[in-house]
Amino acid sequence: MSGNGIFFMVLILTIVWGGFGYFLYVSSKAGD
Amino acid sequence: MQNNQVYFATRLGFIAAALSMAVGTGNIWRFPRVAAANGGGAFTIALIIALIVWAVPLLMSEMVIGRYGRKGTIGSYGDFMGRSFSWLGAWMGFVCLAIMFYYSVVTGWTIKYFVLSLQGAFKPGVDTQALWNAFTTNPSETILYHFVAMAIAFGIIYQGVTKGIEKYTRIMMPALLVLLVVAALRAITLPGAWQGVDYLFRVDPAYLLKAQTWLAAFTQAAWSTGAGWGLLMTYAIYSRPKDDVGANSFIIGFGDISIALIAGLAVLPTIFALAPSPEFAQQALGAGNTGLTFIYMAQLFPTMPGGSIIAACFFLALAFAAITSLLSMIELGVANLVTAGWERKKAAIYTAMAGFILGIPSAYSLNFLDNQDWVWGVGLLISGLFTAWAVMKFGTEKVRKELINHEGSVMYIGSWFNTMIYLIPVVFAAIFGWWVWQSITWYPDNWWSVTEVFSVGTMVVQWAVVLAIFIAANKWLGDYFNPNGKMLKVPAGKSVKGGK
Repeated sequence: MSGNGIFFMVLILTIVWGGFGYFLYVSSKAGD
Repeated sequence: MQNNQVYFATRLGFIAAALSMAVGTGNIWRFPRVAAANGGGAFTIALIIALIVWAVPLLMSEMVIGRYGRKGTIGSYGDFMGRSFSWLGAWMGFVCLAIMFYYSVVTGWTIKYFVLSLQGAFKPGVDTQALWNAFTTNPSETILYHFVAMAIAFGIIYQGVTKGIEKYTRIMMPALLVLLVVAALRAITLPGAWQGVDYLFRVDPAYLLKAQTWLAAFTQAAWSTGAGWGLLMTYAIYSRPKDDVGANSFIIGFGDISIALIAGLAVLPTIFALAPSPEFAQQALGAGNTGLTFIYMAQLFPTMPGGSIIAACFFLALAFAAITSLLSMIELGVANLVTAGWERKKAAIYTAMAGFILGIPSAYSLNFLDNQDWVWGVGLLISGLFTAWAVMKFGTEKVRKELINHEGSVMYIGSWFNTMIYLIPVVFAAIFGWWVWQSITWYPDNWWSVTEVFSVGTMVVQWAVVLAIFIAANKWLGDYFNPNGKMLKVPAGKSVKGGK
């Protein structure tokens, strides 16, 4: 796997999966 | 509906239902193929931007409109924009129902392939093309599986919002995720799989300068997230007042891409690791959604260790994704009928029956299904435009200040929302124009023909017929599907403008 591929894999997965987790966390502040 | 308002029981219940609405077959069989064709990582970066510009603002708008009237699409538009705009809600509802008719057939295919995987039908050397042809040219089988798909979805919808939709999507959504992760882990641990991972994430800046990359990304954002379809508007009817509009819209958008990326990690490494030649890999990626999934993936699964289990996981995940999206389409029909005063169970029976009967032509003919997918798939972009129009008419800033940043909201949405809403007509013109232009290049001599599967003519004529009927029947639509609308309280002879 190329360095370019590894770099963007880490970047994209961090943004997308991290974003998903972050918004789930924010949403939880509204209580259940 | 407001007097007997039903809510999802929990925050996670709403999230599971809304996310399962967005995550459909498009995440699993379309994203990996389109990403591979448009520069992998460059496409995904464009997709993230398209998510912010198109999908999330429209998802927020849908939630707002659905929660404003807490009615079906026709009643919601009638309350939000004024009764003279009931036809917009009818268009939005009809487009989704027209998709539901053939989507149930597609769901049946996924169930059939899950059954085949359990039966061990995918063996090394099996002719998966012949298997697919034999299945799709046998109407008794395609209609049977269409019936099974509709029956499963009906069984869930019939049980209601909390005991049906919420209960089952809370199981199926995490199960889908686990199944896809299993398939992805198996794929990336195959020798040579990292070539596929590299293909999925590597960024060639040249692709970011291509108009096609962006147009494909915006199309994927529009079709995959369900933004502007009316489905989130429908589920928003049952969201609790304290459920945050901004945060939940972002969850749906980012969750949708998150799952698409896992599907990409299941599909592309499998193809690159197991394809007997680079030409085979290119053929697989160029074979369209169904070709990639039902012919090439089905052919490759048996060549990997543990392939029969992975095939079952993959096709079950696909079936769960399809069924949970089908649920939201049926619920859209049910919600409109319930607003009209129908008893919920009766509405579920009639919607499912109509879905089964009107889906039979698509089960019978792949050409008919492709035509409907083309006409109403592009029609969804118009629904997205109508959603932005509704927000602009109500007052974009008012929507943002009062309905998105509502009392008790936990995520503040800034004025960027207004900018995105005003950008939507521009983006719509670009994507819509691109699809029309592509269609003309497919049929340079008879693009106006009504009888071609993917022509401009067939789209425009079908849209025009539906729009003409709804505009002509606007008053009846408002009276029947929104009997308790705000405007009924306006004394006769007074002018009727705007929403509430």
